[in-house]
Amino acid sequence: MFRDAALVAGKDLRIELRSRVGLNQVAPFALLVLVLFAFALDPDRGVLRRATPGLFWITVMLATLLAVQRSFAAESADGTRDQLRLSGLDPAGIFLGKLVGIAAELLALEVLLLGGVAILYSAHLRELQLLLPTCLAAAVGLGAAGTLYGALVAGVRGRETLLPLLLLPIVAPVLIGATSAFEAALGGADLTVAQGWRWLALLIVFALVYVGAGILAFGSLLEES
Amino acid sequence: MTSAPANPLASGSEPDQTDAAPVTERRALEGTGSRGSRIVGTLALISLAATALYGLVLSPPDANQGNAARLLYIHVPTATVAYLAFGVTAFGSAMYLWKRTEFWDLLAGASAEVGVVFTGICLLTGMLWGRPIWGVYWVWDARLTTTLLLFVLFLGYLALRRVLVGSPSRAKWSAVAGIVAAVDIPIVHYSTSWWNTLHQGTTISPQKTQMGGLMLFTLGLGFLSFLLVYWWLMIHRFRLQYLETRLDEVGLDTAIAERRAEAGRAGTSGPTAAGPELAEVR
Amino acid sequence: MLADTLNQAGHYWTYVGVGYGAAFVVLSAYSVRTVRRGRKLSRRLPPDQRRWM
Repeated sequence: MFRDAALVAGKDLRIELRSRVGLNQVAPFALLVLVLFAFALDPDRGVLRRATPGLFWITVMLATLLAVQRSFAAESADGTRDQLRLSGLDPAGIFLGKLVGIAAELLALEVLLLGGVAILYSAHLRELQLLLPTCLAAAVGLGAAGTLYGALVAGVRGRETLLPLLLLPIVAPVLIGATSAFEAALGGADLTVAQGWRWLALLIVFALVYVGAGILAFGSLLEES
Repeated sequence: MTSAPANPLASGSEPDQTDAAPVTERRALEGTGSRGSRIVGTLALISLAATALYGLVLSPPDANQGNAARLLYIHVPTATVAYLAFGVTAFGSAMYLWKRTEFWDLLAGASAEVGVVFTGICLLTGMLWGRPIWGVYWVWDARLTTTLLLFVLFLGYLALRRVLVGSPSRAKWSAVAGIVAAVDIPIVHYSTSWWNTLHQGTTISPQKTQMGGLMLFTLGLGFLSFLLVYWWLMIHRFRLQYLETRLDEVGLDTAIAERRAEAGRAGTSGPTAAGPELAEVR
Repeated sequence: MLADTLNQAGHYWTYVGVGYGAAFVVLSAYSVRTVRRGRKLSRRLPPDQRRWM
């Protein structure tokens, strides 16, 4: 299972590295969203800094949609999906592989965005031992839910509009948890760091639940009828 | 369709006629009703009327909330039935993945749609109750937020079902989506309630109401009638979904014929007055 | 406070009326739509395929 996962993840990440879409399009898009938020919120530093955790994670959510769509666009073109099914790879392995690919992209993007908010919103990145695990847990949770729904809507018509409708309500707890953990870490709100750790625990639970659900359910998503 | 109730499609309640003659054949061609659904529907209509009577006229206004408390006779039962409906969807989805029979898929799909309708009513009446009592239509209370997210989640589920029509894997994919959505509910509820307590300090909780005997009775009546309505709607929606899948198997020819029939009928049928609620049951 | 609320109770009827009306309209519209669609589709299918008959 894990060998299969490594194969699929390696394939996806190689595609990403070679096509450089992530670097050339998704990352600039995310930075652009940060700039647009600054325009919308009037770059009065107070408002922007208080809203930083929320804006950060909204940006990540939007980027997740792009990452999931890209990851499964590669799978639905040219009958790749059938070949993947015929390849004899373990479905759970395929799921984990796609998940690792998406989560790795998201993690890279989150690190980039951390730099972005530090510079553009003058956020003080304190409590890195809370910030970084939060980024990781959220990336895994988003990746797991995204992989499940990405496989569901891949190949159906109207998938560009259906994916946000399906995915965003599901990951609402991630938005709540990650934003609160960031507020606790960055200060400003009335949350203590200890409360931030509890939110991190929620994120980990979410990630585990959806990784588990994906491992169990992915087989029936791949097989035909 | 024929708006003359004097010529009821079903009032002849002899069920043994159904497999007899062309006359009954015409009757059999009508709709998703059956004797059982008509009984449930009639009971639902009666109890709904009773709920309206007790809720609007006979029960006293609440000491704290005045007449606004009357909205709770709709709001609380619809909320409960909506959660029940989504529970049925989750259960049906799980059973489908286990048993792989069409029944469970149809049950899950029908229940999700009826549940969304009930959630809509629940949210509407809740907001109309909140405006006079809390002063705002909406507060980011845990229960409200969870219900709103649930509404959107299952709208997405229904959208997925609609998009997958005709796909051989529709039932299975919908089942997975139904379970994935259901798994989210406890997490959403937990996170929103915690988020809410951390961010808002004190939440506005529903004022404790001393419920008199008559008010409790009315509330119970509301539960009964909305359960019956749910049951009745489920019968029809389930059969409708059954029809949809059967027709889907027949394929494109039928669809073309249907469009033609639609175009033909559009001229003749004219404005058939939308009868009062559930009137078409009888 | 209590008396205040009770004095104002009269205009709550607007909310109550809108609420009951909206619930009625939504339920009946959905019911009518379901039943009608059922009739339309059932005409296209031979009766022996409808097991509840």
